[in-house]
Amino acid sequence: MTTVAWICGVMLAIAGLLTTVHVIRSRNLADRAIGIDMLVAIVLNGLAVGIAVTVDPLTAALVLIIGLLAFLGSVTIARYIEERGP
Amino acid sequence: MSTFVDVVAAALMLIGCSLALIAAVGMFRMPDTYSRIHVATKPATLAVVCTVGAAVLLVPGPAASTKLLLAVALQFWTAPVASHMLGRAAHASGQRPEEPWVLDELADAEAADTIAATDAADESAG
Amino acid sequence: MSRIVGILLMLAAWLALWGEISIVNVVTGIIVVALLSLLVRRTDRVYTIKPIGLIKLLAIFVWRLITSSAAVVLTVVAPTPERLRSGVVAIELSHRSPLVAAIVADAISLTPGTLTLDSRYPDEGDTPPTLFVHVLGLDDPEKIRDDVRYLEGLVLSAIVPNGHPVSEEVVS
Repeated sequence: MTTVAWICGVMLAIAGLLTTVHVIRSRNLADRAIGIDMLVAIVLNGLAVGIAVTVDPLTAALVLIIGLLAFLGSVTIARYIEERGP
Repeated sequence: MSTFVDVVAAALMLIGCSLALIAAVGMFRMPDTYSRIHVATKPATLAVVCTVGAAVLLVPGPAASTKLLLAVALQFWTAPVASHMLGRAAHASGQRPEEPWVLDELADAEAADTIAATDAADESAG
Repeated sequence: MSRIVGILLMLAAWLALWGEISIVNVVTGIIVVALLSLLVRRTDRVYTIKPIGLIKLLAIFVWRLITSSAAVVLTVVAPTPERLRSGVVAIELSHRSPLVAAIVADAISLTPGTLTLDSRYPDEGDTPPTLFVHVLGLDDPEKIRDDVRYLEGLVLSAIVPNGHPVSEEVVS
């Protein structure tokens, strides 16, 4: 399980790096919002891998809360872009 | 790596994380905003479902499993809505599908709406 | 009756989230659930659910999520110009209810290659809404329209909105 968690961690780290570069490099707000949604999904994945390694039930509450807040954030940014432009 | 549950959980985690990596790579290779929405939200949702499902298999007790299952259901429920709102915002702020695109009927409908609105405004003013 | 079922389900969810059935948990659960039922307004139910159709709809949602990720993986790993061709298609639904349109839009966003962008609800109240769908890998707009009509038939077999009668040729 630890080897698998290391491999997953490396994959998620590369994904996070690529997404961060995309967020920095993109030229309008909609692209950045997509990148941030993707980053939060990667964070959720990382937390789930962490649960698998340390088997700590307290992290489960974190996963739930971050999932809720990520959705709220995406919808808020989308409404803002619609009204105010990129 | 003793039991069957461990093996299944490990496989699910690997699948989930490779989906996340492919989603991140895909964001670079896609030419315009709408295809990036497709590529970034759909595999990311499935990746979260897979990895959290693997965590559900490994964690003992009903408290953590319920929270994780709720998180899965929440992600599954809200990801299409979030991607739809981002796509709608992108279209409203002027992004169009990149060449070579085939047809854009929403832009035509919006143009027709603005023509109708200006006609109505001219009629009521003049 | 359904209110009591709802209260019991909420209490069960509270106990499952805390993990153990003790007196403190049950008492606090009853307090929290009572507070929530007082705070949430009761609205009239605007639809009726048919369970078999609903299970089939949920199963198809899950299946489409999995195949959509597979299609996206294929597009990312091996992009060809046909797969990257995109466009926005206007699709007119055949049922007036906004609830059905919302669920169909949700199902479209889960299907491989399609994403709902916008919708138009006409003001008169008798013509059905129009959905605008962005398609990745577009080859024929008619195929997308047929798929959306199939989805609409599925949704109507699961949820029947009150007040808007379902016509025969949609369900079949």
